[in-house]
Amino acid sequence: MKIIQKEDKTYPEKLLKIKDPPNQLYVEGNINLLNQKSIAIVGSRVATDYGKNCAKLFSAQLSNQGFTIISGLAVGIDSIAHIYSMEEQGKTIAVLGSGFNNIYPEENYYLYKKILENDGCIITEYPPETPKSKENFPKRNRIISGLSIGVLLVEAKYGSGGAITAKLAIKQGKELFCIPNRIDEKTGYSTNLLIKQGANLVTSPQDIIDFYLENGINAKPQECKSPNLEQYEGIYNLSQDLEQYKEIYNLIGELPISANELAKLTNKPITKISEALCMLEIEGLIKHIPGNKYARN
Amino acid sequence: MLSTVKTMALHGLEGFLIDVQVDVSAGMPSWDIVGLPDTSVKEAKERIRTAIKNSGYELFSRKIVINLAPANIKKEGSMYDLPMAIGILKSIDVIYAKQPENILMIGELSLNGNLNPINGALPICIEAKKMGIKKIIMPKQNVKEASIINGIEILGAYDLSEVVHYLNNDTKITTSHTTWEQCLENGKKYPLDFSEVKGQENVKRAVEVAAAGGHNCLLIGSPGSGKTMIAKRIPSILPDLSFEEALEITKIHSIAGTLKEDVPIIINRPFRSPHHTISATSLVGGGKMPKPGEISLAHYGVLFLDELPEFNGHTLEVLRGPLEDKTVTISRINGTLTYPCDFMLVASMNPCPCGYYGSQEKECTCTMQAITKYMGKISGPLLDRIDIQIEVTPVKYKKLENNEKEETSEQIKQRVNKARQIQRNRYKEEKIYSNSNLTPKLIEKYCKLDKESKSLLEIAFNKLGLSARAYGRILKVARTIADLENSEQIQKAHIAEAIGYRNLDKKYWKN
Repeated sequence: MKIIQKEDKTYPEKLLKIKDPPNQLYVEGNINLLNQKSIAIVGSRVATDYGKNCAKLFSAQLSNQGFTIISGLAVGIDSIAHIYSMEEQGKTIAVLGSGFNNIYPEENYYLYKKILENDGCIITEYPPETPKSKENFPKRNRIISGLSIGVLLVEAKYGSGGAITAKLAIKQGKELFCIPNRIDEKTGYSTNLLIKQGANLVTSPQDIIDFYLENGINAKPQECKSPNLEQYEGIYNLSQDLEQYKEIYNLIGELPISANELAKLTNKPITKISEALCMLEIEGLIKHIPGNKYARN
Repeated sequence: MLSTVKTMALHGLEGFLIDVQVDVSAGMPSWDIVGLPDTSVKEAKERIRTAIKNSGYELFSRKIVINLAPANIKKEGSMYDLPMAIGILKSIDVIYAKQPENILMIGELSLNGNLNPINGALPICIEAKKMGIKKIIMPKQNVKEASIINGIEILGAYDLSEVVHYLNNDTKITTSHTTWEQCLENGKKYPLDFSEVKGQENVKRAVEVAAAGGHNCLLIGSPGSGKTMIAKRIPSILPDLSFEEALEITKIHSIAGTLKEDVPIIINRPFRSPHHTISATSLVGGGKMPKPGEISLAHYGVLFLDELPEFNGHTLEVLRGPLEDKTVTISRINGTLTYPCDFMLVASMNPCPCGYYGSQEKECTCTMQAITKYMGKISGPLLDRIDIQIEVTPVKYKKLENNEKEETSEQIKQRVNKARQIQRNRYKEEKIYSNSNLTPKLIEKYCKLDKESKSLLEIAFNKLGLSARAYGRILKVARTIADLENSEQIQKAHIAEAIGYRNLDKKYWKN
């Protein structure tokens, strides 16, 4: 662990520009990341499937294009942002709201380790023994937005941590990107509101990349590794069987549907349906969601 | 004058022949009972004295000594009242006729001389028959359960004087005998039926597979989704009881005293659903003289644990041994007893503390931590013993309204019976009866996969994030599904369906 004082040369420049920069930073991992071009991806801890999918997509694509992803190591959107950034061999920074000896939430301790293993960076303004506390979490949000060149808000309820980060981003003059959501979705309230008030509406990661390209910022493209899908080739080809499940697949849409409803619609025995669902799920075409329902992936 | 009457003491399911030796002589009036009687036996003095008096016999002030031999076995319960009373009446020559050797007596006396029913009449008869007893005199209320035993004369007496008259050859007591077929005819069929469950085809199928292979299963669902309704109907699709099985169940219930008077023998598989406040002792059995617990009462039937995470952690852990061994051995200071407990565990739980995780009707208010903690209440080793986990979702009102014909339990049972028969034939030499009992070694022997299925399973493991412990379980369940379809070889489709029954193992639950 390193401690960087405000006066040090290594202190990230971007942080000095915000209103109340922390006096010292406790850093673990790759300290160089702090001066990279980074996008903060923040959002609700209780995210919907839609939000989780968006977080996955944006985190992976932006990492692929060389952006460093910053988030807060919380559960929900934050965790997904970290994980999928690393899946694309990207770099990620986690900003904690507590000391290093009190990683919160505890179940994300593995993620903390994983980020360090993947040459990521963890920072906090609090000394190692500082326990978690309610006031510290909103405060660390200013570091999240401060370190980034832009903030992507995926999903946030009214007045949630994500919404706070978004406000701070505006105050600090950072670019704010929001993903639109359904109007009856509670966790989509803040994003929709911010869009209404003038935040950038984004519907694909390319929107963000294009925005920065226009402004002359190009995160260095990395060599992207193709996903390793061929490892099972030759043993057994699933797709040859998929023809027979087509009828069932066509009935599954965006809205979740249960096995029983499918059985009714197709007039097939439930055993055939569960077999088909399992195959489709293995193939990655559909997903099983809580409540024993299935939806397209 | 000295007299001897035979009776029996029960230790668990094991019977010991007891000689009640009574000596009535002149001397200082006193009454002693020796031979390790407990309080309930010692109290018999007053009951017997009054019952004899109220039956019209006179008990002069004498010195009475009663010995329950062999004297090293503990005796408890009220069933020694009748033999002791008869012993006294023999000694004072109220009963004067010579008695045959092989006659046994059990029964509790009430103050007016009537006989009250006792617990354990059936196992006593079974044990007595083994020991060469030809006649048993017992309270009339117990006759029904005992009369199922062949080759032994069961005499049901109404009161003490009836027994005395019978022993003096003044009257006859009619013997009764019930055959197994009569029991089946007269007995009530299982009152619940699967045709009453509307919709829920996938859960019904899962339960059918569970019943066919004897797999333990866990139903997960929000409140009101029908978990309990389905669980209660599981006994109706389990294979019919054989006479031996029925006898064993009845024996246990007879000892526990949970038999109903009008039911001679239990013909339906038991369904036990203890409340979640149950203690570990009452679940596995215990007490000073250990009594069978809920798991033994569920022998050959279903033990249903509703709201599984609400059970005390310690209480659930004690299930681990019995689930593997199918017997439970309880050690207490008074003895060590073994009761059988070959039951099918059916458990139900909510997906999260508030109950609505993944529900369409209501939003779940639980944090991810709370859900993880809730799930964590059920230990890995216990989950390891549950082969089938299935989510139950509520049925829409519209579906409840419609009058579509649902499959009856009888139809499902036929398929289950067939699958069980296949298993019994296959495992003839392995000393197991169903797929659920397969050990890792036997899985290797009987659940062979072709190349295709093997690679499917491998892909599934990697893509769906199944835990390693799911492997054996999936194979066992796939074996049962194959048996239901009368297929020699486990096929791809069977594996695919079996994977579908591992809801809890899938990643989404945790993230």
